[in-house]
Amino acid sequence: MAVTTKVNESANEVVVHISGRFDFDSHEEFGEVLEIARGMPGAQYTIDMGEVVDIDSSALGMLLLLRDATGGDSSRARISRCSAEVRQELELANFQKLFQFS
Amino acid sequence: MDAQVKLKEASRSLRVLVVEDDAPSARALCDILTHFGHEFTLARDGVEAVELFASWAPELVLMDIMMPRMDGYEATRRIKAACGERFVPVIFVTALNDNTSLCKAIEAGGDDYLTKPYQLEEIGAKLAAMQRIMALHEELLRHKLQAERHQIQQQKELHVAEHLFKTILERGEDRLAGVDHWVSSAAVFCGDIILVSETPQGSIQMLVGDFAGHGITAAIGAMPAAETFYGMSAKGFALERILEELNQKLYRVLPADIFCAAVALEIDPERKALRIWNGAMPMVYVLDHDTDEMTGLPSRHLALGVLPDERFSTDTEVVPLTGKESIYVFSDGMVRAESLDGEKLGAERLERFLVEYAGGAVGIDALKALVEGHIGDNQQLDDISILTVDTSRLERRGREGQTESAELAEPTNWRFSIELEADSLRRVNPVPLVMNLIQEVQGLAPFRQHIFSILSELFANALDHGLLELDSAIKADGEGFMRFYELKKARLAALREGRLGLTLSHRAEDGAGVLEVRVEDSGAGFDVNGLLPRLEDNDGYSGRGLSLVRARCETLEFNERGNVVTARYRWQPGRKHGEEAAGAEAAGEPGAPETI
Repeated sequence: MAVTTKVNESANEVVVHISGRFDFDSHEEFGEVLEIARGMPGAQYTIDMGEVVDIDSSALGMLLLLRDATGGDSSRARISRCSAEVRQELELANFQKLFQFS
Repeated sequence: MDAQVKLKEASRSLRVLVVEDDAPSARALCDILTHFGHEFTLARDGVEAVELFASWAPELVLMDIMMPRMDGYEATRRIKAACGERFVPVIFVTALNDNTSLCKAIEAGGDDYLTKPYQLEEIGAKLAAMQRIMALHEELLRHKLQAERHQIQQQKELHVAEHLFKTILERGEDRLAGVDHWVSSAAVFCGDIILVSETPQGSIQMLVGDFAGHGITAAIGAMPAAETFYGMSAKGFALERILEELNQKLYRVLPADIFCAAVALEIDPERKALRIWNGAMPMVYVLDHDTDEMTGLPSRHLALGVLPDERFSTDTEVVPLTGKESIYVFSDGMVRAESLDGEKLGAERLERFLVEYAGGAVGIDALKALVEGHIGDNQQLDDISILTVDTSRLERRGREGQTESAELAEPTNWRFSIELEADSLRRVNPVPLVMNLIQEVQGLAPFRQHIFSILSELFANALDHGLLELDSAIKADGEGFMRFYELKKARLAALREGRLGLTLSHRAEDGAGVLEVRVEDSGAGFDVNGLLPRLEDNDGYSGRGLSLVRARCETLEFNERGNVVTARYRWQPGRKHGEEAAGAEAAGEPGAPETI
């Protein structure tokens, strides 16, 4: 599991790339992402989950925290490139109503 | 400095062999040598001279010409032959003063001559001069040996470097079906690299790179590049991340005038799309064999190692694949290969060759023949590399690199259980281990996420609520959510007592597989009803875990105390994730939420 964050301040864009297993063990790394998000709430967030292999419910919670940190209902956080399996898991939790998928 | 030392030594004592059959002459010479402080030994004829030369090892020889048994000419020839690389001056001493015999003396290997009667000063001066020449010769010899040693060392180093270079670059060499490549180097070290790797997710990642220049200067960047590529690819990093890292590494490591033009490609596990990044390389071609249309993908970026991080772009282009394409990547050396009369192969000729090639997909051999035929007797000026992908021959992969056949393994009967005590729970998360085990035994690739979800949630519940006695209510707000995990970490680190058992049994049932997961913890148990809110009503950060499990499983049962949970999950070989879930929801088949 690895989380890398790319901040492009001039374009007001943040890309969070997550790979491998996205679960409880990710919470520390993800905490750093939340710190960044609180500092740049209006930015365009893309959560690139193309390399996520497994996802559990604590990861869902973390995604929601990110959404809240970036403005809640007005958040422009977007989830990109997730596999069919991960996408299904997110949809089972109704995340399609909360995030834009690309 | 060395030369000065040698010249000072010029006045030191010499070991001189005096070859003279006439006793008074010999005595005269020996007196003079004694006067100058030199050591000497006397030989009475040529034969003795040759013997003493070998046994006494003189540094200089004074040689008479006319002697019994063997004359001075022959003795000199033999002595000089025995000298090898050493310089042992032979000075002829003679009463003869005719040019013929002096010429003969020099021809035989003599270095100088003295004529009788002997003059003390003359002999002293000649010996001193000879000593200077000897010192110079010695110096020269030392340099020569040093140069030879250097050369041997250098060759050895080159050999080691070449071996290292090849080992690193050829690591990805277990060839993938459908991917072929060829690199022809213009020097020992090649500045072109082709790296091919399959990621844990089953994607194929490829990099064709051309370092500026060729030979060892160009090859210097190849090693860090290959290390980075293979290392990151094996860990499942996305192509963009690998490109970023490569660029950063090369930007930092390489001098400004060395950079790497590159094409990076990735084909997804399903083999449905090609993603490509072209930085300063010639056009990449995708030829669709259905329509005979060829798409050119030109360079859209600067080479790797040119731009600093913040200005480097990893934007890729995506080409959908149908499984009937050929992909061609060439390095500059191919397009610009020159024939003997200076004509370049050129992009146009290359494109025509690809499109008009009668045998369908152009193989690597045909391309090799094309460029080699074009170069002909001309010298190859630059490294040439070719990568071809025949998408019809690519094997599709599932998750974790499992092949299709493994995904469709028939359900079998098996059972295993593990029990972890507090000390191991502190250190190990058993879920990934168990996942790998299931993968090996049953190959459940298409259902992987479902099973992960079930195991992961049940394990987390048993640990969090059963053993660590954490209260989910903490997770009600955002801060609490993160605090919950901090608390979990702290309590886990302090856990001294408790056990947690995982039992998985799998049965084949009418062609379907039924997996039963039983998790038991030694804790006091907890109230399960509070943990099962409906998914659709849930807008909090937590509380989804068990609901997700319930949605996936045929049954989900807790014992009364709440410390044992059993979940039954059913799967059908040949049905994928999506189909299974959709079917379950529509038809109320096992797996739908209302069955519990």
